[in-house]
Amino acid sequence: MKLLLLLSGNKDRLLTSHNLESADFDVIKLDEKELAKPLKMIRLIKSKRWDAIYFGTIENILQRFHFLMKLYILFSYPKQGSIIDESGNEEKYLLSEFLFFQCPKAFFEIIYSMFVIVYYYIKLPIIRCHYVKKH
Amino acid sequence: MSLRKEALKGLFWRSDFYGASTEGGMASMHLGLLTGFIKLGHTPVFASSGRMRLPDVVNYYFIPYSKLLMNLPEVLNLPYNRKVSKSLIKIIEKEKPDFLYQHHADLNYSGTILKRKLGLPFILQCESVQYWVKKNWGKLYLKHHLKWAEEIQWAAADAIFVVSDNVKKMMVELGVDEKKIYVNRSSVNPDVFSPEIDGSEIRKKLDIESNFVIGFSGSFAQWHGVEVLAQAVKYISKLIPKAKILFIGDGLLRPKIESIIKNDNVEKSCILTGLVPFNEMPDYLAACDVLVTPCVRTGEGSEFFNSPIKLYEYLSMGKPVVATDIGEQGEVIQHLTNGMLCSEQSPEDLAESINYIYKNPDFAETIAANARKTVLDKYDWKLNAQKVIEIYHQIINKKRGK
Repeated sequence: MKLLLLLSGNKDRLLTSHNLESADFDVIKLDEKELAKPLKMIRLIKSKRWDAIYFGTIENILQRFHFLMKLYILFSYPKQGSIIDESGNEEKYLLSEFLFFQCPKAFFEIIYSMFVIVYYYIKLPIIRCHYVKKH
Repeated sequence: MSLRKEALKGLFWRSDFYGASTEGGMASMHLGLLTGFIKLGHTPVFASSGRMRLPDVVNYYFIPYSKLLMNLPEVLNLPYNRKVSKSLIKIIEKEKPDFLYQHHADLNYSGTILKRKLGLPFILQCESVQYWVKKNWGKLYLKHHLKWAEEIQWAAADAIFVVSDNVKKMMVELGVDEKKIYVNRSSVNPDVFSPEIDGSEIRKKLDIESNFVIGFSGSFAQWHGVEVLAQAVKYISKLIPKAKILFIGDGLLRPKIESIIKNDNVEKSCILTGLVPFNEMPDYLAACDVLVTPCVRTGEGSEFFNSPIKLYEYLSMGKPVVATDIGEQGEVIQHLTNGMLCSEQSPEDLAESINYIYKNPDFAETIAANARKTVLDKYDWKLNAQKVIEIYHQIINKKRGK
């Protein structure tokens, strides 16, 4: 049995677009916000020995938190899975890709985010001063 | 008198991150406003960060968020200001719109950037005060950034449209110039949500042809009051044994709703349809005998400032409507004239109101007809679009010193 964590979209459309059999899947509907709760997520994916973990979305490129999804696949028993969408796109979990691409990217994202936050912490009050005084 | 003065082109954009979802109240609102604009003979151009269901005549531009910042909340909105502004400047050069109409989003001040660079009239639409919403209902990340961006937008906008008097009141209390805030409530497309629609196919499909059907549509979120309806099922079932309650929609509260229904042992009286595509929604509403919007206030002592689109969709269907007497619902529904008002957070009162409609079919027919008339007179998206045009002319006249 495989697990489909349905973040968005329609279960049947998702499975059909990837030629997957509905009978092979346990489907759990999941809100995107739940991905930010690691303990709950790990408990969920370890609650049963599934053969693979799939995350289903309407459109992969418009879905956030790919890093977290792949991290949860890493923590699952089979360490196999994908992020799939209704258009037939699939982003497979590969340990090497996760370690050598996703992890450095996530690290860079954190550094870049810190820069962005500081940059706008300086910039926004300047613009605000201009407008709030003027109006 | 014709509503049309001259053909205008407006650039509308939605800058919030909403993933791949093309359904929901916000999508309906954009679709409705654009449709109203087109009906008046004007030309809308639309840009957004995700996919949208739009009429074919609308020139649509997709401006996605950066792929680089997709794993942390909120931060991605900040650099999007720069990206969306650069893209919109190119679109403006090509399309040459007469005005800018932005739907306000967290941490976004792209309307201000465009107004500063191009000098076009800038109209901002605010559903709520985002800082307040995040602080009271969600998680308040980057609170200074959020507050500053919001204040910048309010100050730079030539006009601000809000959905309810309560949002206006909140903004005025925060120092926004009252003279530039206009209340433009949610509305509906009465051609799409029409009493002419036949719901018999859905009744057949769901095997509810002989039932008295009570419908709720919308997100299973707290403020929609879907829990109150679930709690009311046991009372409704006692009062109306042949009642079937149709929960049309989905959301975070679904497990809770299922648990209430199970614990009250009323599973046989309920149908949870899950998410229904927007174009099928009128068919589902047409299949109902009465429609309910049991919205509740969330947060201690807070006002109800939402503008539930479903209220207008219900009224437009020409069905008897039961709504809780709060905020906008209490203003739009005149008790016993175009609907019935019931107490907030009271499953018993909700059930009694539904039962009153069930027992008085002539009364139900009268309020249903009045409900439709209310929409045609006041709550057609075309009228919202007309208000936008009027405000645009006021801004232009003010700039010209008339």
